[in-house]
Amino acid sequence: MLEGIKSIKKSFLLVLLVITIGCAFIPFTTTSYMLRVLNIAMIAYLCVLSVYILLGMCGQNSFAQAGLWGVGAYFTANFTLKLGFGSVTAMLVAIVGTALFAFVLGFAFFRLKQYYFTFASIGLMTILNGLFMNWVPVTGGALGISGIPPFQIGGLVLDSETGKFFLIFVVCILANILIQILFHSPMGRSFMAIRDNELAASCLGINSLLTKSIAFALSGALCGAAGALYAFLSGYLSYQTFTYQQSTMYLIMIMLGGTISPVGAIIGTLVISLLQEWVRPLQNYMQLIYGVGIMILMIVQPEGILGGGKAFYEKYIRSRKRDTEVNRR
Amino acid sequence: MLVVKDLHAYYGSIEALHGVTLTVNDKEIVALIGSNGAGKTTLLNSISGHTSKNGQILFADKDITKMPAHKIARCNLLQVPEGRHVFPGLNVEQNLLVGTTADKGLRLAAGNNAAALEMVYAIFPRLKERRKQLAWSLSGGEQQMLAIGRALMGRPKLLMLDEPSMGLAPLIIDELFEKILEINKAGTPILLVEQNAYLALRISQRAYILERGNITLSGNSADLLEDSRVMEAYLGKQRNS
Repeated sequence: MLEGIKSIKKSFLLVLLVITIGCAFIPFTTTSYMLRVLNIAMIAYLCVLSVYILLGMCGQNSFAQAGLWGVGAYFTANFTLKLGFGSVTAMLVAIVGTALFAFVLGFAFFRLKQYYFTFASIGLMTILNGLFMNWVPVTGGALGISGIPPFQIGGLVLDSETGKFFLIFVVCILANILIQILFHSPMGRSFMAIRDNELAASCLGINSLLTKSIAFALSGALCGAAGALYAFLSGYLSYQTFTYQQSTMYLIMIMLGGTISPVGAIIGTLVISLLQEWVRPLQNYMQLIYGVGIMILMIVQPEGILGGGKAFYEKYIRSRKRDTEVNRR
Repeated sequence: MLVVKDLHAYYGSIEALHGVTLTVNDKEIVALIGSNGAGKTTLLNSISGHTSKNGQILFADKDITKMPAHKIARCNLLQVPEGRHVFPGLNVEQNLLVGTTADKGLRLAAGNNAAALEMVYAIFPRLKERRKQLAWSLSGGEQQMLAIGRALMGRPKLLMLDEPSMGLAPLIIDELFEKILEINKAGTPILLVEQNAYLALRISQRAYILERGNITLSGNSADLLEDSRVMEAYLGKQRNS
């Protein structure tokens, strides 16, 4: 763990610091409506990060992330409202519980090879959504659960939009640091080895079933955290939030941003979340715009905005190098 | 070191190996020669746990017949699969570090791998020059070196090389085989599968010849090089009259 922390580059910490300071001012410069949009975007970002772990690092495509998000949210709601636990406990339970849930399912699902896991995840999403809608004692059924208390720690109650912003923001930063540690750890490298070549990975002693299940569990933990934050943020849960469409949206976000690094997740989430606000008059056509947009993106820039940007930058650097060499002659 | 007894391997209902028996002793290079489709790769894949099979495989006096592939690798019996299979999206150093999994298992803390890396870089200096380069951008020969170096990171007690010369230029092949000898001299026994029979027989001490899933001939490599049957079938030479 310590080595993992050491392996984080100074440049990463610097960028993180700059972003943190920059973002700390956001709540004081924008409307509370916009702040709510940002809060929801950051929660989506956590889920998109979970897709990054699973798809970007481990190469496994899941359509069940919104379902795991819901599992985290209902965990939180039940533990605070019905069992009377504190916010922090409930959130930890949501994270660990969702991670365990994902791990056990992963252990079953990853016996299926290649894209069959994706099909299984679609099934899981459908089942979870049905469960959210019909398991009345736990999820409130079609009426949902309302009156979830806001996050509180010690005597501090975070019931304002600004307070919630900082809570979610801190969790996002922590998630990013953890992902950076994971990326540089042998575990993260095992994920990427499986993504790149499963046969070679097993020849090197990587247990692909266990490793993939761990990746699914980690992505579950992130979704669990996102679910807990969503419960605290909105105070009301409805099965209509945790849908298959939402899972697809996460995939669209990371595809748009690029799967090569968490920065892609940031770009994708921000672009889509803000786009939804800016083109609200066109809301009825949104699905059409996404559909066409994704198709164009996959043809023109299959690696997403980040991949395209990186390729462009490298091309620019190379051409500059060539120019200076020519000039020297 | 490695003892294979009466090994039958299957693809579905088709039997690909019909009772192969083979041993590899400490510190030696054993070559496995045969034409296309003779079952060479199947034999290696069976030893490393990638096929369904019957028979018995003992490695360092441990029965590994029923173990899954990753556990066999964790016994430090490492295979470099045919066609290189580097991790294209990882750079050279990350590729090598993945190799430590075989020795140290799945873990979160990296531990100290500097010595192992230096050992591999000493054998393949070219990899050190390219350590930050993504593996897909390496040439074929470099990828093969990387695949072998990655297996060495797992501190193999036995290294199984599957067609290391495949698709490489003759000069590169010579360089590569010198490295293979070097690795062997440092104490690692090697089971080498090779279509280039002449090369394989030259660097190995013993050899087995595999034909349609059966071992038809075995013995000291030097003797096999002189054997008329081998000459005709695999070395492309006419019988001296």
